[in-house]
Amino acid sequence: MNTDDARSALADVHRMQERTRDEYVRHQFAWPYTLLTALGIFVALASSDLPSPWSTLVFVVGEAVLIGGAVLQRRRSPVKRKANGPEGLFVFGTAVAVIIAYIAFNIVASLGVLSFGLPAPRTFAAAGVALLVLVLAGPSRRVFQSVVRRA
Amino acid sequence: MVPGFDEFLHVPARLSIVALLAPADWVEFAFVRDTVGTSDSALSKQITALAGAGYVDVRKGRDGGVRRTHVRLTPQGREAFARHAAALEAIVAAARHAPAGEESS
Repeated sequence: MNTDDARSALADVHRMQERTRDEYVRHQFAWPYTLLTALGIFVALASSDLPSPWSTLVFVVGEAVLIGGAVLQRRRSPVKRKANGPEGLFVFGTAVAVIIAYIAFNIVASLGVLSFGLPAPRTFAAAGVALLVLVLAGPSRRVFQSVVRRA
Repeated sequence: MVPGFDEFLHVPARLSIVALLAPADWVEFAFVRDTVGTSDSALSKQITALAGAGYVDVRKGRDGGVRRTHVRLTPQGREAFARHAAALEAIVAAARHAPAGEESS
C-alpha cells in the first residue's frame, strides 16, 4: 500500500461521509418541509383566537400538519439517521426558541391591542413566529450543518 | 500489511459506498448511485458483493407507489470500515513520521 494511495483513499472516505451528512442536512431544511412547518406553527398558534370548539379543531389541524410534515420528511429522506445528543439539543433549543418568540410576539401584539385595538392578536403573533421560522431557516441550517459535521 | 487493512473493502467503489453509508442508518440506493457516480447495475453488483460479505443489509419497499431501496452497514461492516479507515490513517501517520525518502508499501 502506497502512502499516496492511502492518503487519497482517506480523502475520498472523508469526502463521501461529508456528502451523506450534507444530504441529511439539506433534506432536513428543504423548503417544502420548512414551509409546512411554518404553516403548521401558524395554524396551531393562531387557533387560540377562535371561539371553542373551533380553536381545538384548528389547533389539531395545525398539529396534524406539523406531525404529517415530519413523518413525510422522515419517510422521503434519502439519508436516515438517529439524532445524536447535540442534534437533539439543537431541536430542543429550536422548540424553546419558537415558544420564546411566540411569547415575545404575544406581548407586542397585546400592546397593539391596548394602543390601537389590534384585532386577533394571537393570529398576528402566530404570523410573526411563522415568518421568523422562514427567515431563520437559512442561518439555522448552517448551525445544524456544523453540529452534524462534528458528529 | 497494516493490521485492520481490508483488501476487500479497499476496492475504490466499495470503499466509497461504505464511506457514504457510515454516517447514516439507512441510505437510499439512488443517492448512493448518484453520489458515487455509477450505474444501477454496477452499484447492484457492489452492493451484492458487500451483502455477501455480511457488510451491508438491503431493504426494498414502496413509498406512495414508488419503489425505494435502502442500504445500511451491518455492525460487522461498520466495524470493518472503522478498522480499515484506522489502518489508512496509520499508513499516512507512519509516512508523516518516517525519515525523508522512506515510504510504507
